[in-house]
Amino acid sequence: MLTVNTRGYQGRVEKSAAVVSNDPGRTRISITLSVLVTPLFARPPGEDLMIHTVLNKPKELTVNLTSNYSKPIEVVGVKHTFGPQAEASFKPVEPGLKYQVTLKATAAQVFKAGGRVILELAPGSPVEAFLLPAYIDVKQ
Amino acid sequence: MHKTIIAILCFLFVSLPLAARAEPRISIEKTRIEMKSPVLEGATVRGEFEVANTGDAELQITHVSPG
Repeated sequence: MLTVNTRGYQGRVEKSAAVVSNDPGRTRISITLSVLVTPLFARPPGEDLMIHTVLNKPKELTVNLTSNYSKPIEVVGVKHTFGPQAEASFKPVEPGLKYQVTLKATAAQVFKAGGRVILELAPGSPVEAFLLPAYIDVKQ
Repeated sequence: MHKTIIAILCFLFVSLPLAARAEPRISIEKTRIEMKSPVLEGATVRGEFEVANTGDAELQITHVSPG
């Protein structure tokens, strides 16, 4: 049996393993389990957290998230991986179902990096956190 | 008597190499499983692979390693 834990994954996920035996003709056989993972929250096409701005011109982007889960999911906090270069916030639109997430580039210095906005979910949710890819580019 | 010994030796000469060639043969009908329905993030998915021995000696699976 092959098991795939889909926490933190979205899209096509594959896990492979090698079965090693004493068959002299095929000592090693690869087996693969493939699954399509639907994200816990859907966002409209084109709504990406990709911020392009210039130094000292802070800019923010908001995405609208809708839960794909059969039960309400409570977002309890938000974090990000950009350090002092960004601020993140969230606002419930329909608590448990729809949320707005905003990422703001502080633009205090020239900066370019990809990262994540991390939505912390209440205990009992299918995962502890939902990860949103993000990108900030602050030019001179 | 002499002929019998020769016959036994001939039998051993023919059959021993055949016996030595007995070997296991691993068979996995499906080496790739694609789940038909998408799953929601956070779910754990399991796939079962059936392994058979179509050879004539004992098959030993020594280990299964990820990757």
